[in-house]
Amino acid sequence: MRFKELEVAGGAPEDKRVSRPIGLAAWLSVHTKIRRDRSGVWILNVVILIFLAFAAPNFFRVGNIEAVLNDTAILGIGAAGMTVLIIAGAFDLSVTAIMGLAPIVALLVAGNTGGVLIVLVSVMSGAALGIVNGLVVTRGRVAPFVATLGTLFVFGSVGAIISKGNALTVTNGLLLQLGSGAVLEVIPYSFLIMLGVCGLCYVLLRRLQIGRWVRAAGSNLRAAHVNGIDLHTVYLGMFVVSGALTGLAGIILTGYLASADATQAPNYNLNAIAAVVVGGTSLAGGEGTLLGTVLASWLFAVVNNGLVLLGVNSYWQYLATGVILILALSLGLLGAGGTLWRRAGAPTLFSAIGQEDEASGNAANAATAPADE
Amino acid sequence: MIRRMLAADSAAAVMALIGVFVIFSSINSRFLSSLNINGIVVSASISAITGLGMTLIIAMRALDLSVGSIMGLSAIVVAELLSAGEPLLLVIPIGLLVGVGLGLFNGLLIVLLRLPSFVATLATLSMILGMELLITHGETVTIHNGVLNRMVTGSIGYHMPAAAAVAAVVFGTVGLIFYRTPFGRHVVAIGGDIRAAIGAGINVTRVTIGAFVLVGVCAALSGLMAGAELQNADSTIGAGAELTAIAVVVVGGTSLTGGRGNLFGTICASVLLAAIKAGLNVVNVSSLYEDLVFGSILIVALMVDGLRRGTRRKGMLVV
Repeated sequence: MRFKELEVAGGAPEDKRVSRPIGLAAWLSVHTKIRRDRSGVWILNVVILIFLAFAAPNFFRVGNIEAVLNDTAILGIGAAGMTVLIIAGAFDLSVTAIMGLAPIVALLVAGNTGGVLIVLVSVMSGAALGIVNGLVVTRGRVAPFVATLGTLFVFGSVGAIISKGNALTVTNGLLLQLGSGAVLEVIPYSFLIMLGVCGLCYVLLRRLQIGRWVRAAGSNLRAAHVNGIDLHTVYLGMFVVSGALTGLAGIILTGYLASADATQAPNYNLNAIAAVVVGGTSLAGGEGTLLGTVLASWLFAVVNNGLVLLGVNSYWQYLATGVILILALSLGLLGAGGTLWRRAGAPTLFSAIGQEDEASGNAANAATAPADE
Repeated sequence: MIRRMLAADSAAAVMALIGVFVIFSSINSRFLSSLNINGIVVSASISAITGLGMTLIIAMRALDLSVGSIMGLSAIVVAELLSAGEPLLLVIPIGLLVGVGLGLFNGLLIVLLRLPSFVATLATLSMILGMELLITHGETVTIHNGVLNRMVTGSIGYHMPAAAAVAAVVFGTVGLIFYRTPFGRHVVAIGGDIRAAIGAGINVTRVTIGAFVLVGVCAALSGLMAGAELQNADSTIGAGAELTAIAVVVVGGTSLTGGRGNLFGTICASVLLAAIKAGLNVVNVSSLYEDLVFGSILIVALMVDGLRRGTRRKGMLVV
């Protein structure tokens, strides 16, 4: 097996010989272990938190922090699953629909029983929908982007049909607690769940064999196939993980809103992808961190909350989201040693789904030469 | 002949379209009434125009997620200017210029900041939506302009609305650009293999910006028409239209892997989507089922497509 090579190709070590770092981004990349392409989210977090400390001191009130952490968790749980999928080189656009459908199924099936069962059913139905996605991708041989685009329409429609287009009210105490309760009134349960979820995803990606397979498949599909990795299992498994986590995020959101609606999380798919990307995970697949995703979810929650505290019209938050997305991806690459506005060197390469960098170029070359085992 | 037709990229869309027409018209002949056909053509034209631009972008192996927001913003700008009393002849070009500007912005983000088009347009999707809401304050702007409305829904004979003529002109123009100009071939070349395209001396920067401007104009025109049809504009125009546009292009037989595009298939898929919506309405099925039918057709078409080509290595996946 040649995973080592693939890993090297996927995460090419930074050139540490930058002689005179100019600017914050360059300084960070030299003096910390944060890689350039992931430093944007750190810089933005620090800058925005410092700004809020002066401009809106009541941001740091306990109640407010709890609200921000809750928002972070609802986005972060789904985004953690999306991180795993994007590292595997796939997408799940259907999470928006699963966020609505899974809680609806859970409430209809187990609405009168205990709260734990409702949560379990929601997670299970999310996993079942993930199986559907996974089967369409692996057995139906449809590219994940379009396969989940199709299931986005289908699941969304099914959710609306079985709830008859209405919102279902939640009365279960445990579910409401799950959505808005907090330990010591600071750390919401949902945030603890998100930390647990990210821990599990970390173990899956970094400590289990399948995590290597995921990264190998994401960095070079053909090489992974040639190496005998069971791609069907990998992709099916990752879609199930993503589906189950989305089902979990969906039921937490339902508890928070005290109702379940097929369209309760509009644009959740694009928001989750944005969080993953801002967190420094490459859309080309093969590499990424869960910490980055969590930080990005936190960043989005902070900005939305901060704009409200500053008394700015809430419509600005859409503009802010876009600006953050652009800044987070370009900040780390600015300045000395960065790849932006560096006139000399290789021509600009870009592609639709992911950024084609030299690393994936190496991996592509490795693929053309068959592995000699 | 038949074999060649079945092997065409757009075969799935054409067959599904014929199937949908046969099924709905045999259930209820009202489906073929001129009023219903009119409705189908207007709504198909609006989604087809964005779809045509998107076909180019997808052929270039890029994506534009901001088309929905561009639709909304152009409709809102037009509505605001019309209610401020500006003449229609001035307002329509301004509406289209909105698309040019936003397309240019997308293109510059992609080539200057080297962001993947997915991320860059995801950012602008959100930013443009913010602009829409800041302009309208979340309210609906009414369009009191009969001329603009007739330019979309007015009849041009043969039971066809004017929107069909607009779509035909756009189809002709985009078709000429795509199939008959160096620019079109460069778009395909970049989508097929960007390294080879750079090696062949294609100015990738210029072609990319050009393609994004083109899709911007198409989306702005769609938005303008959607506003004209509804006679009002708000931020819900074009909401979610980006994913629908991508779905339409893909059902039409254009692969997301780039390097080829099928404009005719995009048109067929747009009519298919509109026909499903109108048909379910005619046979009294709740509109909640629209997406179920369309999504299923999307998945089935792609699965059949994968099996039919059969060129993919066993066990290999398309990611």
